[in-house]
Amino acid sequence: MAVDPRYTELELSAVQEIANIGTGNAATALGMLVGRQIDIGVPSVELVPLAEAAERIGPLEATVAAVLTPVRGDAPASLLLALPMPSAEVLCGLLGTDANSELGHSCLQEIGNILTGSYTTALVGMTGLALEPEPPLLAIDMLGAVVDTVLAMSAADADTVLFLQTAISIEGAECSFGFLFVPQDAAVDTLLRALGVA
Amino acid sequence: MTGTRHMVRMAEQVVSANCDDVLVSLGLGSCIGLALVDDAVGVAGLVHIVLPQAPAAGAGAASAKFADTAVPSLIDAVTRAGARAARLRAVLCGGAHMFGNAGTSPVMQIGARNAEATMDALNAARISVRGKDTGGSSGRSIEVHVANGDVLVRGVGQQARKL
Repeated sequence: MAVDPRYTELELSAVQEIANIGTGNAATALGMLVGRQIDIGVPSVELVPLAEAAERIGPLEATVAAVLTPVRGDAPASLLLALPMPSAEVLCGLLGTDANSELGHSCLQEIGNILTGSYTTALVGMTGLALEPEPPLLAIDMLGAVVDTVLAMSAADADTVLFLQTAISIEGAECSFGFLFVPQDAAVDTLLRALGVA
Repeated sequence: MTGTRHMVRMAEQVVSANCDDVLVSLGLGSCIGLALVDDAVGVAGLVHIVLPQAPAAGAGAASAKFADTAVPSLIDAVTRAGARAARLRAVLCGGAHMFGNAGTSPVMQIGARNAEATMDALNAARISVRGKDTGGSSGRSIEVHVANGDVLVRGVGQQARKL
């Protein structure tokens, strides 16, 4: 069974490039939506024991608005936006809605849709794989609780989990959040082969 | 002895016989927090279960990760720490379905499958269940007080409830 370290430096930097391009595309789409400049941090590739994974994303009991988009196809994965509640409120405010209303919830799902759609498009362009995002799902709850299922999927057969994390913030607004790409266990190898490094 | 708050993270198990200790798992979604306590001797254990079944071919994976291996492993650990199997009481929480309307995708049913597999393993080991708060669509945190075997469960913005 695979154990850490599962991947070479070259493989990890190839994976990081996915996040660079995917998040860049997603940020452009978000910028057009809110009419502001979007800042994206340097994406980090996290390859950590399952026990440490959730706390790498944020404080486990913090309330977040999480938009999960399962991605089906050649390399099954999850894309997850995790917005701390104050950031979710600011983002909905920029779009003229309230994060705690039904309209606000649809709005957050739509943002998830746009970001994950553009991320997936970039990923398909880079790899030539067939990938299809499903409709986004929203949960407002503890961070730990909304990430455990997707982390579980990534670590079914291994004790380490690999995911890509990027911090996104909206210029001139108190709004920043995490954008995660979590490939399922076997999907990492598929991605690496498609990128030509495995 | 001074007490410690032990964080029991995904696929981890902690057992304590120190009556000042508190065992904690924060933000359980589809995962299960399973506590086994023997309050007659002040021994308790908490395991953070992630998935229902260990893969068939000995994966060498952490036994705490899977319900079917985590339950026997925790029973073994608490009895080695001084608990008597016949006196053990189980309290479990978690197994939620966090993202509503996820349809029939088996991936999304993990919470329910985790809860079921944990109950099956407890029944197989003839451990009686004192309290259970599983399912639903909200996250939970669990806190086990070794001193008196109290188990507290709390959701977002809720008061802790004793199980």
